[in-house]
Amino acid sequence: MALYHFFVVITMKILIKFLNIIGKEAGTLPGRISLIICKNIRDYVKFEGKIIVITGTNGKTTTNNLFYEILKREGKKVICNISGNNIDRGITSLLLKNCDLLGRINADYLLLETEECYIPLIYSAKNLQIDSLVILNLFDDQLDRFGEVDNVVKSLEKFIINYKENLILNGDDPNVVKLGSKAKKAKIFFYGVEAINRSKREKRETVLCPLCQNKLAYDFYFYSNIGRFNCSNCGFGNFDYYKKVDDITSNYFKIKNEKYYTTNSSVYYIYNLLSILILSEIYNVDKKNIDYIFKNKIFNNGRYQKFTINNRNVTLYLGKNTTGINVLLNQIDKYKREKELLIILNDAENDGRDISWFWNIDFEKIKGFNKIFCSGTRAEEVAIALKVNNIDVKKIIVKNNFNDAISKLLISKNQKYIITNYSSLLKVRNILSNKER
Amino acid sequence: MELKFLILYPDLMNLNSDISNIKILKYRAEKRKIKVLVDEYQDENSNIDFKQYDLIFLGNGSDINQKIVLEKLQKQKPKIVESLEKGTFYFLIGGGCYIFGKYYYDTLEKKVNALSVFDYYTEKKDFSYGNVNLKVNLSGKNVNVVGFENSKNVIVNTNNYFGKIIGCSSKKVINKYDGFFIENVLCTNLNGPLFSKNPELADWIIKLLLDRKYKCNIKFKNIDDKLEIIAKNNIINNLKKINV
Repeated sequence: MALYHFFVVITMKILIKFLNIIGKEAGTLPGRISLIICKNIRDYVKFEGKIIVITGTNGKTTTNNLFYEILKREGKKVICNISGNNIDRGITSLLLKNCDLLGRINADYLLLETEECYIPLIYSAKNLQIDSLVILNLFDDQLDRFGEVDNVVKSLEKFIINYKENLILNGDDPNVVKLGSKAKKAKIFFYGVEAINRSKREKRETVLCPLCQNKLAYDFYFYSNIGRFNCSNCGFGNFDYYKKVDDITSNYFKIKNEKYYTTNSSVYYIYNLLSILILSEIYNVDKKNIDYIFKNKIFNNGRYQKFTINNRNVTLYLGKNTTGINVLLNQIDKYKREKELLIILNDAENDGRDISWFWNIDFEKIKGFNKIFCSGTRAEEVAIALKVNNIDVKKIIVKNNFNDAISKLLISKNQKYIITNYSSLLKVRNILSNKER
Repeated sequence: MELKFLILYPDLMNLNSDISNIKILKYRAEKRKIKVLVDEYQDENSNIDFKQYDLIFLGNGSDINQKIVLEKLQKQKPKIVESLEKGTFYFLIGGGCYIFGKYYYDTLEKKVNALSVFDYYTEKKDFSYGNVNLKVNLSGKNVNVVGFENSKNVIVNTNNYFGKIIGCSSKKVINKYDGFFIENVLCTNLNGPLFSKNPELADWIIKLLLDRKYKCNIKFKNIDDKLEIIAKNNIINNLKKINV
């Protein structure tokens, strides 16, 4: 067996070298091929360091990248899937790229964002045991690819029941807390945000207790089902927080008396930072490195990236599910002057072919735009959803080709926002980068 | 002219934004100066009178939510049957239609006994998902109805199917027919915003409701459906044809 693995590894390394020579990124190809010819190729990997896994519906790549930067500043050797290839083929590729011919990986940490349903598949193996697992949140996302969130939770439960190491959980997300309730052997760290001026107390949609299905009561909530909940019937939601944010201002957030200055003080971003603070404690990171990254790090990977093109300000966002887009619309809504929006909605395999989630976004927040351009393979669906939700048809412009749409968007001098889902992101970013020059 | 719609358990049974269909019906009716009132049924203690409504809607839900709603609706079965007899139109999607049949299968493939308002039940099928093109007979005219399908159940034991599958994106055809369709009941596995791509079906339902209520033969003024037709054709053009 080991001999076969050895040959697979050599072959993949030659492939990777070849691709690099002809100027191409190896991407997930080595992973895809090796998994076809050798299903258990990952068993060959030998790693003595700590494996940290980041999972959840929204925020994996951001959180993964931030902690990667922090560990690098600490001088640690970290192997990380920073570009977000987070299913088995991507992770297998990464391991193959970074192991020697005997399968050994020489690093302090393997830091891997991983899609929820791949966690049991990859990390049940004896040689790939997780030391710290972060679960950021669990929302409905690409129902056709991943199934209902209840089923995602169920598939993770079997893994969690036997999990013995560090488990860092968003205590304000009822689905995440449900997983926590099954993790009897793990060391659990709950994080959350206290009621602050941004929290809401008005009526919200019914959320059922994940344990007993009675209606959950909320003291306050921030968005979707995220907030301080409890079940008066079975006591679900009654636990101690390890870390809680007490206050958020436009520049920093506070935990007890400790201030953390940050580039982005939205509550969604701060939830990600909280998980990083707990990881940093576990791995003894120097506070000055945390502060530096929180204060300075802005990503240019297209998921949130600003461009200036012919004196027009363009912000590019990735939005791939209802909650994600509502979070973005809420942030953009704070900009009260003239603004225009381009929505690019595709239904490629990695977007999820089912685009019905788009119809659940908060259309009220779209009324503030002067013009809304609709593009992508499902541009018409976007336009129909807008007009049915009482957006003035005179404001809606359909341009399936997003090159055209971007050109039209850039005509006026107003503030520009682009929200795209996954399959177009790289191309849009490249178009904008080229126009910026 | 006025129409009244009732949405059953909107918080629990709207997994694929199925309620967008009610928004579209309301939008299209109001464009023709027809007033539409939409109520929600969330609390079994309310005195909502089902037979007062022209149309009652139940969408698709998660496995757990479906079971909860099924249990709650058991007590309302007499009201449901009464309103059906009085002519209320029932529009049911996915899990919403399984609940009204004899039984269905949950995501763990266990059989679940349901309301038995209708005689159909479901059969397990291999999970397939993707866009689908149905040939549907609306008042003697054949119409293409396209939508997205994402289910492990298919309705059987009826001759009154909603549509015949004439195009789909998956390599093997899993089932021949979709749904259940009689005088005042429309059930389909096509979830989410069905009417965004099927304006003729939406208008057919609105006309049916008005003709019955006001004993007329209403003729609608056309509204701009360019986007809707493009959206429908884009899907049809990307589907494999199934020999009929």
